[in-house]
Amino acid sequence: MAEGWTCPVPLRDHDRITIAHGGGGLLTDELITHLFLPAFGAAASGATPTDSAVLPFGDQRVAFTTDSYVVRPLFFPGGNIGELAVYGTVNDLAMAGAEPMALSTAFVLEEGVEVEVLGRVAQAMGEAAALAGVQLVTGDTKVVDAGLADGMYITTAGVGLVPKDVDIRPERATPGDKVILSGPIGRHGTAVLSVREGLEFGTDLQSDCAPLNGMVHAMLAARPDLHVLRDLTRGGLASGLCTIAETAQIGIRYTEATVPIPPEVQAACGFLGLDPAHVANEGTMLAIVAPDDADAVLEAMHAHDIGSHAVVIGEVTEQNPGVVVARTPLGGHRIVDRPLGEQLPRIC
Amino acid sequence: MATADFGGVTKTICLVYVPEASIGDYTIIHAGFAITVLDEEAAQASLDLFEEIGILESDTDQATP
Amino acid sequence: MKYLSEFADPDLAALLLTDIAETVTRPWALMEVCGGQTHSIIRHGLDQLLPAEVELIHGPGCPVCVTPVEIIDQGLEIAERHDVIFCSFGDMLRVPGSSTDLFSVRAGGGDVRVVYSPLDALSIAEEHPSKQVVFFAVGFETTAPANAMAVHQARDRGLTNFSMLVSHVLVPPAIEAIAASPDSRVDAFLAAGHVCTVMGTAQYEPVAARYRVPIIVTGFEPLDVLDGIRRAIQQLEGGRAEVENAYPRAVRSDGNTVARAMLEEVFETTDRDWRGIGPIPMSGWRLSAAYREFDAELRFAVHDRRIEANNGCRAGEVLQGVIKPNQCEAFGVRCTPRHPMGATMVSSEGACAAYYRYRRLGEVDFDHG
Repeated sequence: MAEGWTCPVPLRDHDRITIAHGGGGLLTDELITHLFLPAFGAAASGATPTDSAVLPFGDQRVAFTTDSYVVRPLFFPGGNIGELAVYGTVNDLAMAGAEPMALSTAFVLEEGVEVEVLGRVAQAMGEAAALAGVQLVTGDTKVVDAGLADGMYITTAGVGLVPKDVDIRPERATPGDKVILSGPIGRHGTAVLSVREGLEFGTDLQSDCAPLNGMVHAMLAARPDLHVLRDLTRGGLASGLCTIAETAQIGIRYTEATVPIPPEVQAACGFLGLDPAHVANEGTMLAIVAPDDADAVLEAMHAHDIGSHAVVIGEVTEQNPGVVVARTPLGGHRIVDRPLGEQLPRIC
Repeated sequence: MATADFGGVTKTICLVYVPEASIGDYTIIHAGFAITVLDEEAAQASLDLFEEIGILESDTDQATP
Repeated sequence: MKYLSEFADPDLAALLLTDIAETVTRPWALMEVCGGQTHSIIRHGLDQLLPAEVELIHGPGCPVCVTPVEIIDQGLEIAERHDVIFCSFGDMLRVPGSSTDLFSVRAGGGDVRVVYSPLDALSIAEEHPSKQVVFFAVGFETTAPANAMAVHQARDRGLTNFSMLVSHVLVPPAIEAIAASPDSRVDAFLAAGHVCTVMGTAQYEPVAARYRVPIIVTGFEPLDVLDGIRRAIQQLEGGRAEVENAYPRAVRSDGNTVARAMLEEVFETTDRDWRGIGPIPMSGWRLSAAYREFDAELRFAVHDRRIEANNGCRAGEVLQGVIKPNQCEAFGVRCTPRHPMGATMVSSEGACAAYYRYRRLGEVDFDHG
């Protein structure tokens, strides 16, 4: 009785970019692996799947990263595009263990955007940079026709120095290591969605948008030999864990009941049909550390506001390499995948 | 139209199909519409039933837990 | 949240699981028909916790999975028009038609918008009088009241730029078709709780009686699903075949009479093709004569596309519970969530996508968890 029907064209073979390609999930990775890297050729031999590239520079190591910010709306509960643009890049540097030094700021502005709006964004960037302890040293401004750029797009690039005794990269995850989460998940994505046109819902929830470098500095001071750091952005907790597991070819298992999720995030995800583990964050991170280091690292995190809820959620395993498994509150288990494409467009 | 609290997030939804609903009631909501008012007595009865199953289990259970 | 968290209580879940284990004496196969229940089972790992004798077969409970390709193609054709704003629930965007999908149409410049409620589509129509706004009305009986109200209001307000592409499917005929199939291995059904909230439970009585299958009206939280399973096993072990309501806090036997009255007015029953299963007579709803002017299929005169020959996708057999996803040769090889061949792999509630998540899992030791 089965009805026949044609094979749907796989998304990879589409000849146009879709919103899903910007989701930070599997499709974004495909674009990188199957389009950019082959095209860049030998020039991309130093490219890295981690947040920052770490490059030798004399006897120093320089961390270098860039990100674009296209969040819509520009202002959302707990933050705005300017803060995101500063903190996001500062955090990518911090995830390499680097002390962020300087950022560039490039603006693509939509013709017709109010100068007052741009002023507020710039003000926020200055304040964010001061809070994070970085300089905004160079930049660029372009204007495009009305109807493009949704107000504005911002791209920041950042550099920082990596201390000598620090070696932080996914491959350092070792079976037995503890997986630490710095705080409650899902806040940024939920806050942005709550003011997204067509989906508006009422909530007091604010984005977790924040600089992580201060806390990372304290963590490194407590235990210089941290193995892996990763901030959770698009794709949420799931993407963060999956990327580490796949890159390092180790397994990660965690206990869902230990992951702090604000009730408002649970509720919003409930009626939107989203998985909190897939929802974006902007000031929350993972740390993977040797088991003996976990307590000291947690103590360092708890001394910071943004790390006050830091907790061990799981460990690195030899079994199931490349796979992230979660133990459910009922005692069952499920594989945690990254979101496939674009669950929440224009979230960062 | 009314405001529903989903446990910390609020959303405007339509009550046309639950004319008997009043403030404080729990409802099941799909696609922006409440489709029923939750029967709180029945909810408690279900939970009580589950507890009872547990009591029956331990009554008939011969082995030490 | 009250009335949610209590029904996920791990201790009570353990009690229900023990009761199931102690009641069951031989293998039974149960089919849950609702995608929300499938999701709950996978999300909580319930099928791992059940005794080996209890097999769960994931049924065609995902309206996204069963929407006929022809209707998706019609939707795509409409969405590509420059004068149209095409509104849909989010989960329809990635479902493949014969050659493309709504995501790609949007990438190509089509105005495709995700909405939470059909009333949002109505608002868009009022805000854009120069455009035609089309809402993709896909779903089971649960979302039909919302869709009915949207088109009812459109008529009341005299909107000429709003229409709906309707592909409602009905659960009782599907359960009957599966129960009647000679290949069916299903011993009992867990009926979709919120469908019954709207429609009541009477429609299942003749099916339970004719095919001698217990039908348990079941909710979605872990305790609801476990209780539905528990009651099904009790009936099967006791040789009974009745309709039983395991979701009394949300389901009355006559359903929601206000909603049913509106559904009677706005919709009429029609034959419907279920993707992967085939035609099931009188298994769908279309707009009634009084509302036919809001039917997008007529307004845009979109033509049926002929479907080409089967490419090897066996979603139909999976949907009917005839084979498990991992018994399909393409499963995990040519067909993955990233490169889906059929709707059951595209939708996160589809059986194939659900199985894919367990495919790689070896021994997981959670003693220390």
